[in-house]
Amino acid sequence: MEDDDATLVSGISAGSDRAFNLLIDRHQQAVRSFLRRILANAADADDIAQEVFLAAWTGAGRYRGTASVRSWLCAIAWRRAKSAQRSWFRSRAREASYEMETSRDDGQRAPMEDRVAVKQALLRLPIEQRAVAALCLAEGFSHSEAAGALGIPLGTVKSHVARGRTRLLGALSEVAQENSGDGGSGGRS
Amino acid sequence: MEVAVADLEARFEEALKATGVAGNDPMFRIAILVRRECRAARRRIVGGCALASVVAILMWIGRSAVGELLGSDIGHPDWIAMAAVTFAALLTIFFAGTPLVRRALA
Repeated sequence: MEDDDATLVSGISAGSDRAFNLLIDRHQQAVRSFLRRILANAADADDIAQEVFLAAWTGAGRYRGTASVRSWLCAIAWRRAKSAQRSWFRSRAREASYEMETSRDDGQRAPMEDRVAVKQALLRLPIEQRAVAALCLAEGFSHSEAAGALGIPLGTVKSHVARGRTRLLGALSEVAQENSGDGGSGGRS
Repeated sequence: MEVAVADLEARFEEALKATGVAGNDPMFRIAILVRRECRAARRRIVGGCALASVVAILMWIGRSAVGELLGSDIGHPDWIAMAAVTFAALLTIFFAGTPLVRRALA
């Protein structure tokens, strides 16, 4: 039987390993993707993602069910990413930004230059705007869901989405123009 | 012009999706479970040592009090054993808290 997320969380608070495994399998992609988009280093993002699930294991009893489990996990991820950024991430982010681009999984449909352009543009956004863009534009969160997960006003989320999208599209259109200037191949691989 | 914008939007969607992870990684779940077990083991070790040291100290105090009340010597071997247990417990707590051991356990 397919358990819903709230049932899984109550199972986790009762100490169920099966529920915990299911929760990880169900949400690891969203949490890891979110963290990889807001942090420069993939290994550090995965490290924090593991901490997020461990925090969910120990703090499952505190889940109130007012937001979706995915939002709850992303809210934990956001808090941890922010505090990590304040400390040791600050020094490591710069040197790791290149590594992130080379450590991507193969088999992606998007051309490398598009990915690099969007990723670099993402990293240039202020962290709050980056998180909003990651949730709303990439993960498909609604504006109110993102506002709840990040703890920021709805109006701010809306403006961050609009600005973030414009800046990311701008970065991509620059790449497209460069490619068309190089011979019009469009850079598709 | 509209086609170019639509193409750019499509490329943007794909590129943004590609900045995340492609799918589930079974090793990720295993890493979390290992980390959770190590953390639980560490907590048990530290908790056990703390309990052992508290018990040893209380025994020490209790036996001293009894010795004072009865006015008799408890004997050196007992004192040495209790001191050794306390020292070992404190030493373990100290080392279990150091970053080196934490990293080895985590």
